[in-house]
Amino acid sequence: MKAVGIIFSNIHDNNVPELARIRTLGSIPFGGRYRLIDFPLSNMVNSGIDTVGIITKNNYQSLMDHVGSGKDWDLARKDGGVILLPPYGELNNNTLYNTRLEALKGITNFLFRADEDYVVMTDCDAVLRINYAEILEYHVRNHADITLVYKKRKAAPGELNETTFDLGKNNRIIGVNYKKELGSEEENIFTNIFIMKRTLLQNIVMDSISHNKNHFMAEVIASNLKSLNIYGYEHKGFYAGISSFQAYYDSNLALLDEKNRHELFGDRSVFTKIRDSAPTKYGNSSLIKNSFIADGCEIYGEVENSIIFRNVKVGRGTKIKNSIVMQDTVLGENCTIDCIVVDKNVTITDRKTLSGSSNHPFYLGKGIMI
Amino acid sequence: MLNNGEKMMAYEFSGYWKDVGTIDSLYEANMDLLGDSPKFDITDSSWKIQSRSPLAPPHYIGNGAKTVNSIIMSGCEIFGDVENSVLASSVIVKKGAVVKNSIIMADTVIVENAKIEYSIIDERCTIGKGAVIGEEKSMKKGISVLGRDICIGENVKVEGGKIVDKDIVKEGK
Repeated sequence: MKAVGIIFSNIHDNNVPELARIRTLGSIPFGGRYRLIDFPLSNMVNSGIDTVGIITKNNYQSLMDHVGSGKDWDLARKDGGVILLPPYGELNNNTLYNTRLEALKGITNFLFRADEDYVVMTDCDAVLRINYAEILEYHVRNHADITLVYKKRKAAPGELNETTFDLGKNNRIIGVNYKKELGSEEENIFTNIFIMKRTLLQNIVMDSISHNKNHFMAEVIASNLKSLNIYGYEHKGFYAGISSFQAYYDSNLALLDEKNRHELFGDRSVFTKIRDSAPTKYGNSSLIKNSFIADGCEIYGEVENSIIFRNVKVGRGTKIKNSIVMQDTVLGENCTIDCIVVDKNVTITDRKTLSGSSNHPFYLGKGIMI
Repeated sequence: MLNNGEKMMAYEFSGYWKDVGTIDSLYEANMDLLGDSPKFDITDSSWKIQSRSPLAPPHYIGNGAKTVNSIIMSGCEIFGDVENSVLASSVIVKKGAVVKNSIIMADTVIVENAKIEYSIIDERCTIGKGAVIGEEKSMKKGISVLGRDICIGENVKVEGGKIVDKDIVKEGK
């Protein structure tokens, strides 16, 4: 596939301030052994994209640690591969960006140096499996200038600030709406995935620099609906948008549904940084129901409707329900946690009871001890 | 060296040691990983055993499943009972199936209501509905072994101590 990939790792950090305070949105742990960036990165690799630029802003240490040389995605290459694009990375780039267009203004060298004909741009706020090569085919077939991927769905509880599309004949986009709050109806909600010719993106970015445009959707897409052929592409498979902390919680638990799990992982093509762990060990007193559990855990207690990351220890008599427990967390004996998102490296000592609610899960920050 | 009078010392190794040269000792070595205080602790983070980790999602344990005193690798999907057993990656144990005192290698599928007892089953086997593999250790018939890529048909019974290297579609064939 003759396309270069661009991933925005930070752009929706405000969606989940709890988890993104210490990391980029892209490096938020998800689904037991993954980070959110694994999904767009794997989609790109599986679609035949072998040059991927990752735009960062701040807090990207954990992202660099996770992506490394890119070898786990087969992106450690002499030519192309994964290229980290930090702020202040280019000459004359001395402001920290706030918007997508400003971020793109900071990577003009990357855009001009690539020799691929097309660009695929995506954020890290969606968990989905999507073949960009198929969208490119659709893009070419439609003689489109820009193709934007949308998901026809209802808004998640508490979901704010989404872009929705009005579609005309053959899915041509005839209206772009920014909604502070979404209604209860199904709408064509933008997934923040763009496909266009690289030269077009170059022109857009150069034009934005000379005319001081800063907002991609308003100043480029919405104001050019007539002069450019802009089409929508409907993503029909599993989609989990990380639009809020609640959505993060719900999207993780959505993996307990067999259909969702198989749609996302069925062909075993979601790549991630591989670490060696022993298999998970279940003790004599363990009782597990409907849970998704990574390697390296030691479980002597009960786990129900939960996602357990690597190397978590669960003591005797401890009950974990409806929770997400990230790696290296240790729970002592006779604890109970219900509806809690536990970040990495947390220690919960014996006989503690913590409980949130399924429509208001609580969060325990990285490294704390209770 | 001894004849030359050179100083040669012996060092006693007091840790876990197992010569894995027979089916029985391979079985025992695997079972030594189990228990709340196992003879050989592979989870010891100060002496990590490096390996090639499969690219598989975490394992899923369904409602009504039982996983007791066992170790289970990523990619597995467990809907039946697993007890005192070692499961490699991406093993599927369907509803009503029972795996006891056994070692199941990667990508093997154990279909509904099949029973596995005191057995070693190699990679990519399929154990049909209601099939019975192996017999309890106390029957003194030994460990049942299934080779790689073996298919066992519905309701087929494989006796204890038997080594299977061909598919068994129907009883006696």
